[in-house]
Amino acid sequence: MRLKRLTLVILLTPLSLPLFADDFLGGSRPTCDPTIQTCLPEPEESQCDVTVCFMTVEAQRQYEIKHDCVFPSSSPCGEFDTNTQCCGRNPRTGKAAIIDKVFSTPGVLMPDFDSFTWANLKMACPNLRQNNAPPDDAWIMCRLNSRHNPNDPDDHYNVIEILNNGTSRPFCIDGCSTPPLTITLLYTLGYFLEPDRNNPSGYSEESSFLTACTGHDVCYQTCQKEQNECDREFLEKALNACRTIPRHRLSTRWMPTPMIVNTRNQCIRAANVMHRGLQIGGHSAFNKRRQQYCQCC
Amino acid sequence: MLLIFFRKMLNMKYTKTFLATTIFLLKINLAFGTNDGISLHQQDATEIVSISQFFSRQDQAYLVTATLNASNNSSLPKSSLRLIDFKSGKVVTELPVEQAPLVSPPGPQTSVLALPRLGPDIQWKIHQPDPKMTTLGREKNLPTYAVVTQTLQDGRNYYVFGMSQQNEPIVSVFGPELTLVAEHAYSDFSPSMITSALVLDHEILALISSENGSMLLKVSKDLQTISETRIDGFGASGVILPGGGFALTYVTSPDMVVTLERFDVNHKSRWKAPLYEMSKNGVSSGVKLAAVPSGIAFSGFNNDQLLIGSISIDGENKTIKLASKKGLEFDPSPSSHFIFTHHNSIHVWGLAMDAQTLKNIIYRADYE
Repeated sequence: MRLKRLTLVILLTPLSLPLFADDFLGGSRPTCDPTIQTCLPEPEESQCDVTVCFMTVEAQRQYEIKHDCVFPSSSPCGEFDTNTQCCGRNPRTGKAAIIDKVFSTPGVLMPDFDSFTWANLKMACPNLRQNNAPPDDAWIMCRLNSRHNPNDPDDHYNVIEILNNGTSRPFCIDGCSTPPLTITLLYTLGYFLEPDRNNPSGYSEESSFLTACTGHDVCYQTCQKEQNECDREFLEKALNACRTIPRHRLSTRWMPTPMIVNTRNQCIRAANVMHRGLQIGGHSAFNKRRQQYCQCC
Repeated sequence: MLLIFFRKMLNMKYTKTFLATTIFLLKINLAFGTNDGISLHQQDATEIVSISQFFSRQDQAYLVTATLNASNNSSLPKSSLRLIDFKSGKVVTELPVEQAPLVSPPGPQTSVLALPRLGPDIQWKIHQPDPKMTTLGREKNLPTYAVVTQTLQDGRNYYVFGMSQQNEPIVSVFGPELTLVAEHAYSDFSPSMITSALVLDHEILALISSENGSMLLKVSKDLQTISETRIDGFGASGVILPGGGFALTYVTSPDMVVTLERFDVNHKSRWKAPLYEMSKNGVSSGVKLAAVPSGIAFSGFNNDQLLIGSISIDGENKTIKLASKKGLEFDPSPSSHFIFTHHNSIHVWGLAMDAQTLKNIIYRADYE
């Protein structure tokens, strides 16, 4: 009796194995000859490192041969127009992606990743460089006595100086960009001794923050430093401007309450409050400038 | 003998502990000083952007510090408001905010907090913190304001005072849900601002300041002008006295004498007293006022020193104390110091600067 059962099991096993194997692999039931060897799917070819793009199809094929791998057909990489596109990386997924060289749509980095921030840009474009493209929707112009972009609510002041930067877009300098109402507030509360965005202490030409602000404009418009580095450099230069004011110089204010203040200290407070303003509200302008002045490769 | 003691100390295994204790005590001494009866405490305030004074609906008084933790990478800085018990200096609650306010109203704020927000330009908002003070609660934009100087509660309504974007004195009234009930800009006085306001039983006294002087504007609770009286000085501000009436302070010109004037319940002047003459040789300012059971407390600056004083309710007895510390440079701006009282003790919180490092310092001066 036991021998009869064992014989039955041995005879049935080859018939049942393919079904078990198929269930295990999760694929559809094979329509082939039901033997173990022929029913198992072919081993998959190993996929290539998907963080690589190629400028030509031939270059991609050579890579596949050399590394014994293939790129999946769904890979976003492959041949692309190097005149207008770059091989970059989707900042959300980390996977290779073809990215527009110039970000001419305001606020847009990638069609499927629409937020343009410096952090995303750095991740997306390892070969960032200064933008040399002609004017577009993001960077309309740089003309003396005109704003960068008249439609941009962050651009309050006209360009006062244009600094050439080789073949790249020139630096547009608009001085210290503290918004008009903020100047009224800072002046009224006594942080600024004068309602002058470039020279809040009003003491002398040397105490003006214009040089510090020009350096800050250039820093934001250069695809290199972090915002906090640019802001810190502004503060150091502004403090140096304040140090030109004699140590014991006093100024009198009648509003909002009569005060006799130390002119140099008040200049330092103005520099500090402007620096704080950049830390609190400078991100938007910083990201806009990076979009205008950087290209992906 | 002393030499042997120190040699022994140097060889002791507790030398490090001894030195650490000595340095600690020295530091404490540097951070704490008493002069002229005022104890002055100071602390690093690198993270603090601005300070303000807030009285909750439960009548608790807080110093509010707006802090900003700027990160070294490109992520957005974290901001919060810390509500600090003015007596102990302990943080009672911390409210996260989208943006630390760059500046704060120079006057006291009651029940609603006014915060400026930086966007393309400054935009003021009032917030009604929930009773447990865990969130900033309901909010309302103040699109017509350039400067908010003070907020007040009267019954179920809230009043906001300041300067409009057209440089006019302006008052707004909001209902319990922060719906705008009335708003009025007093264009006849432009350019000027309301530097201080007092809500009485049937009317509001708004003190208007400009480069030309001060004005006491009496308006009804629906903001219609009742009367206007010129004040013989600059930068007027005032306080309601618990026994009835009110007191005003202003600075006369050109001699710059800080003056206090007391008015009775019928708004008649009872007495006028000079507090001090502002020094032309150092940082000086007018005063901020607060009521104490024995009279009126005040704080300001004179000749680079912090000044705290009080005057009896009849104006007869005046006490003025001065405090300073080497290397501590006081900021006399009205948004940078606030006066609190507890019974007859006076507590002043303010911002200063370390003369060497140029870093922000927060100080607390107690006069018991």
